[in-house]
Amino acid sequence: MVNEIEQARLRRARRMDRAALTAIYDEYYPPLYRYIYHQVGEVETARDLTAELFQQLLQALHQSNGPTQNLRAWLYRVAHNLVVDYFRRQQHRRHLPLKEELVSQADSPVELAEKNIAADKIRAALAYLTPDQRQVIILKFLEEFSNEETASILEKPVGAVKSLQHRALAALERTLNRAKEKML
Amino acid sequence: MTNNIAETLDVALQRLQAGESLTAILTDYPAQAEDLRPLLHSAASLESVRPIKFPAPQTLQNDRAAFITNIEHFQQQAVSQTPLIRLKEQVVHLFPVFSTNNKYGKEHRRMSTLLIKTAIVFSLLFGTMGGTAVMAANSLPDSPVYPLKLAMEQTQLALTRDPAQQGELQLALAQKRSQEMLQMALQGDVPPEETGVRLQQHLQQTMQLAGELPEQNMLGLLTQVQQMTQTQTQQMSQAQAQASAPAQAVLGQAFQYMNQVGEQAMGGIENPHSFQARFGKNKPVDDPEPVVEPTEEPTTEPTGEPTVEPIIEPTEEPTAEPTEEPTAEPTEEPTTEATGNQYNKNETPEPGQFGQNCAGDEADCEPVEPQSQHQQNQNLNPGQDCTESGECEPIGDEHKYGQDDTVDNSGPHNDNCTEPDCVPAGDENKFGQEPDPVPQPADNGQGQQNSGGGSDNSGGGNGRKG
Repeated sequence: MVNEIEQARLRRARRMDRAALTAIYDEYYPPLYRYIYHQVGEVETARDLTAELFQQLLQALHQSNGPTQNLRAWLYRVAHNLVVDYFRRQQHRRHLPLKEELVSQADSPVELAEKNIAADKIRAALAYLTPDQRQVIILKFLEEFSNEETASILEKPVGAVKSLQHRALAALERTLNRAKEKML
Repeated sequence: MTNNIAETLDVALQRLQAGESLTAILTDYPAQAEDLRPLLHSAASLESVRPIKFPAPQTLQNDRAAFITNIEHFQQQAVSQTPLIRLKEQVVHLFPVFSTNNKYGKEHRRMSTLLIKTAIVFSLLFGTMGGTAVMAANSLPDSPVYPLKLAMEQTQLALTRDPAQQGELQLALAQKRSQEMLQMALQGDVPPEETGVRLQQHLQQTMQLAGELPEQNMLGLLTQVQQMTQTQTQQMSQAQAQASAPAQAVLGQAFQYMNQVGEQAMGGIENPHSFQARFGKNKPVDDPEPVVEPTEEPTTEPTGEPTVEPIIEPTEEPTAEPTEEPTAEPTEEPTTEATGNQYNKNETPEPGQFGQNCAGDEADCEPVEPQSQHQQNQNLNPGQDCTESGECEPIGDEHKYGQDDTVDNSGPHNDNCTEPDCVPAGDENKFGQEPDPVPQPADNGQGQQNSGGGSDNSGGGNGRKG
């Protein structure tokens, strides 16, 4: 039933129906922004990439080349490609992203600093993973997708997602250990 | 083992996300606890990056407004630029396998599609080209693809380097032209004259190439020429009965020419050296205005049209008296008078003039064709001393220049003969007159008349010196 509603909305979106497209934007903007932000760690960058993602959706639907079955999977794949392209460009530019301050009124300065340090370490370690490994980690542990949903977005079997998850956590653990050894 | 640990890790992670403690989970997997512990710790540490900072609400509103503006922008655009693109998009929508767009992910990307498209493109491309080539190869001169056929033949000729193979190829092309003319005539069409010209050119090239080949190869090629011309002339004679009048005329010309070439080929088979001298590398160069190098003996090789009947009759006013310098300078400009001779004007070799370029060994040089009028003009050179046109016969080599056998050319002759029945002196083997050790002064009478008679067939070379 949900799939039928999704399909009907997608058909309207292919006809450039404003209401359908706005509904899609409202539903998918937050998770896609989060997904991108988890990887790039910058508000402005995440915002720009998310806006570009929806722009590409409009172009694709207008040219009849957009999603035909699974809109969410299509959106996450495009988001993944945008992030990969972004990191590729960043490698050439040698640009160091500005650190985003996660300000919370409830945190004390000490707690805030500790959280920021921990988050920075994790983000730095995530950057060492392969794109597929990073995508699995974010989708499963930060977006809390199931194995099946993750497999659908990655277009891989569930068993492959589990193996990818195992290798990603092992790589993350090794990276964090090396960082800890350097600190000592 | 890896699969097992991956499965166990997945179950343990689900229990961890459900809120179970790490100790409780590891207790259930004692054998794999050491492997699972760091992995579960890493997964738990990811909670530190969960907090997200969103842009300001106003910024989000602006982004949303910009998205809606983009929607309106796309709504105002045409669905697609052309009906063809719309059709393509409709097809792609119904059959996603035909989609070529891979910009936005893997949804429509299939290697099989690319392979199928590539195969179709290649088959269409080469299939069409091959079909056109086959069609052109069987085309007739009135076909639109006939120029392609000729171009392919020219390419084939250009790629053939061996003279023997070139000769065979030229002969094969000549046969093709002949067959084309036959087919068109039998279909009720009139073969274009260009095809006949091409036929002659191919045969001419074949004969020239044959003359440049070693004797053994030359004989083989000439045999083929002789057989081909025989076959084609037979077919042409049969086709002429069924062809229209204009087609008959065209076929008749081709028939006549191939007959000549066949006879020349036969002559070449019987006398290879003569043929090589005539068509080989040492053959004389045909110039529009023949300029014969001064030699001891006047060059009298004819180059006129072979089909003209020989004219043996002397000129209106034959020169009874020897010219001023009969043979002392025999060939200083022996053929200058040719500029006024209608046959010498045809020095440009027309197809069918094989055998006119006799050069080299005079003994071997025999005109293949019936002696032309031009030949007769040359023959008149030695004996133009006669002043009477009635019975005066020019003197020359009877074997070479077609002189009347009734005239006795042997022995000394009277150089000053003025009587109708006199015979001017001359070298019996050459040009009639014995060289006079003391050149006689120029006689401005008859000799000059001869020289001025450019259009006169009797305008012999000796008279020209005046």
